[in-house]
Amino acid sequence: MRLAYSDRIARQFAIASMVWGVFGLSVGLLLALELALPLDLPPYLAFGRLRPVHTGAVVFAVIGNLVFAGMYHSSQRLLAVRLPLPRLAAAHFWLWQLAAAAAALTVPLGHSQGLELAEAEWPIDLAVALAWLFFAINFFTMVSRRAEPRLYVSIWFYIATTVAVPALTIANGLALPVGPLASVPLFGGLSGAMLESWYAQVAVAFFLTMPVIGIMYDLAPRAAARPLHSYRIAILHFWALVLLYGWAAPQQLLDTALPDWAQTLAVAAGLLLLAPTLAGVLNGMLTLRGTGARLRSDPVLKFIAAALFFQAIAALEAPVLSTHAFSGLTQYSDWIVGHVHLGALGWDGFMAAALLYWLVPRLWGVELRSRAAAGAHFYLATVGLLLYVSSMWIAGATQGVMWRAEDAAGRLSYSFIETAVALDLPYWGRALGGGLYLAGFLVMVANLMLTIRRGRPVDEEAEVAERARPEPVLSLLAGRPVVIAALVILLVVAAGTTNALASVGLLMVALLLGLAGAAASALGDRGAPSWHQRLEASGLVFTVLVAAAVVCGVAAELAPVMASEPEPSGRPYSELEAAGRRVYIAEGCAACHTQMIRPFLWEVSRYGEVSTAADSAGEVPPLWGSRRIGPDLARIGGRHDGAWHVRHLVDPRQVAFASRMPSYRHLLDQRLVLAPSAQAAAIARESGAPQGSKMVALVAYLQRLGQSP
Amino acid sequence: MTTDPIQGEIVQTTGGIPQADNRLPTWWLWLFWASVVLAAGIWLASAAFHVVPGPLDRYLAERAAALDTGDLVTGEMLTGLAGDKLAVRAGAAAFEKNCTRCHGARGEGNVGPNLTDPFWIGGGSPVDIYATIVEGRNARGMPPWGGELGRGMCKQVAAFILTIRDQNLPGKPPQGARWQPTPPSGAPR
Repeated sequence: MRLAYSDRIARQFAIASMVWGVFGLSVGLLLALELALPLDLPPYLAFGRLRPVHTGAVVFAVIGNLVFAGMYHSSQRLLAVRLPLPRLAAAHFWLWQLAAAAAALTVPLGHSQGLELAEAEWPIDLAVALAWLFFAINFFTMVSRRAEPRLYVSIWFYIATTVAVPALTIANGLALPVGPLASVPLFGGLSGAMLESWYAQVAVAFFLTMPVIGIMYDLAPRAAARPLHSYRIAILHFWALVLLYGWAAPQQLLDTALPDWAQTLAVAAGLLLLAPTLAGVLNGMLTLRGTGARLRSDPVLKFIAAALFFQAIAALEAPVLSTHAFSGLTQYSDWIVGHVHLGALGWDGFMAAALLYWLVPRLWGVELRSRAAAGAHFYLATVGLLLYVSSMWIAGATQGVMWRAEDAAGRLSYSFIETAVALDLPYWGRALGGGLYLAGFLVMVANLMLTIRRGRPVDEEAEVAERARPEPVLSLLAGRPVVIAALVILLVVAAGTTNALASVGLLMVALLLGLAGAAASALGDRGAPSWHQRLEASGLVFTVLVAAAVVCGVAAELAPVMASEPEPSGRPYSELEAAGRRVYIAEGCAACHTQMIRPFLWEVSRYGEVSTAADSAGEVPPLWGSRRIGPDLARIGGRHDGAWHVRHLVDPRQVAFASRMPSYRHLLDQRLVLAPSAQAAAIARESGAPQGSKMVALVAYLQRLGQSP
Repeated sequence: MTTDPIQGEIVQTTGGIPQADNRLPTWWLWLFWASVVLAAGIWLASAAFHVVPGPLDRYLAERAAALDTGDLVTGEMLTGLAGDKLAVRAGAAAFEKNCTRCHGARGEGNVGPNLTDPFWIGGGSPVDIYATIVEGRNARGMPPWGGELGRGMCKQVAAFILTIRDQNLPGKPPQGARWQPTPPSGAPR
């Protein structure tokens, strides 16, 4: 049977990825300069408002578009089927671009949900969910109509992406619309914070990892023209990631008000992820064996090898960062920024380059314009990445050490502003590294655009053998591996809920069961198709198992936290304070300020008593934050008078000589429609800010923080 | 079955991609099972047996130890701090903001005792004064300030009080016991 693939959609997504790449990386460079220079830019370009534009564009528009290009292209070939609904795919494409553009416009204008990495308001969330639905319809139709009897490794990863990412995006985005571009998220307090960390891990980190691994499993053997190193390692790699990713989500909430058990579970799951991730890296690297000199000359192979190498470094770093000892030092510091960029620029960015250098010449039926330029891109990207990440390691370690330094009398050695001054050099290093990386990206875009101009769109054709597709077998759901995995998970969950001695026994049984299962599959009959080979013949059963695997971690950890959510106590926010909180969210203050004092003596000395779950009860959305470019604000209320706050917000450097904070002078002129209140009058009188201005509301909110009435 | 010279036997071809079926190296197996055992151990030690205290418990223990044993706070430190102009100024500012209502604008006493006479209810050593500020004297109506001001600030307030003591300003009549410094044993006079 002759098959003509429908590749227009892959061409569209590939070009969109490049266009958004130039935008997203440029915004990143601007942000780096804003921290290095303190620039006084118009309020819409201030760091707090622009950082969500950078993260959103890079994750969803650059990597997102790239992943869709890869998945549409590779699925048709791996499943031996033509894209069934090209028009729906086109609708997916345009909806995705529209959502990305709308998010990039509305968030800087102050329409933010206040959820990190999900700032865009509900109509955009809706568009994203719809776009995912369009993709899922096309993708699962391809799976069910395929001519290839079994699903290749890459397809497993695409299934996991298509199941988990939209589900978590929707759960996290659940909100009550209260206006065309305003809403109240459904979950607040501890559950809200926990859901957000799940979203960050299972939607964002998962999205930056799983489909790209799928693309790697397709691209590495094809580009190298070599067989995949190991089928069995692929099975282990896939299921370990799917089963463990959700459990490790609270890694980023160590030492917060999250219950201890959830933190411990995250540390343990983070440790368990190390070996499987390294196994996947090995599988990719060893597939490239035997390519010899091509590894140096072929840009595709070169970028894949480097991407795998950077993923190995990130994989080694992750479980270390998620120990209590290290997290105390690096949490909220620039180290974390370095870690995520190692993943985003090193793994995703290098895989993006590999895929584009592979796809573009094939989709336009022409040779790559310049291999030398691709080589230059490789060096610019590598040097830029290493400079970026090492600058952030230095910055993060500097912050971590200076924040906790105490002199012999137990006094903090450095004021916050002194710790900020110490970052001048690393921040310039980061801007330079990011600039080099962007320069490399521009070289690639120019190279690929020139390539496209010389070619013309080609839809590849292939001879496909029509083979019988086995019937789905529901009995696979009761196969030995499923039973063993389910038992192990049940035993582990049971161990978490019984007394200490019983839990030792249960964990021992779980460990032995796991060992027995591993041994049984290693000794299994090699002649007949294995359980997993039969599973690959059924897209439906496979999808069901993937969904169950993803859900169990989320449910087991999230449900107890939601059940133990403390009731809000104390006086609710006044209308003025609530309005101030909305200003805080719209200005993106949470991009630089946390509201979470961790249980360390030095943090308590600096910021006040440890934050508890009760502190964020009823906070919708919780504003714990993830980074301290500025100090923690959980208990800032009452520490300064209103006049100080206004002076500081209008001209931060007049109060703190080397502050990196932008000026919020515009809040003096922007009005809020609120009923006049005694509180507003008092703050306006004390601070000198015009009554009815946003400034008064923000000061009222700041003065309320940490003040339990 | 075909065989690849590097990857060995090709066990299957799916989606046009031939696949070998190599095993993981032995070091990987050790790493994996060690991480499984370690993860279970971490869970048992922290969550089941509480051998390793959670972050909040660890903090509370550290704080109690720091306050009890005076590991962090010694008389010499506080006396030294009383000679540090910046610390005293910060302490004075906090005193002015939080303490003057009860202890008078210059520490001469009001509802609370006179801080400028040699009589002290909770002991007059620098560490006693510091501890009184941090923990308060609930029975007598003095609130604890350790949480509100932070330990660092409490030390600076204690340092400020060390600079105003023994001025004998007219104010509230003496309360508590007379306190006199005893030279540390064995220290050269």
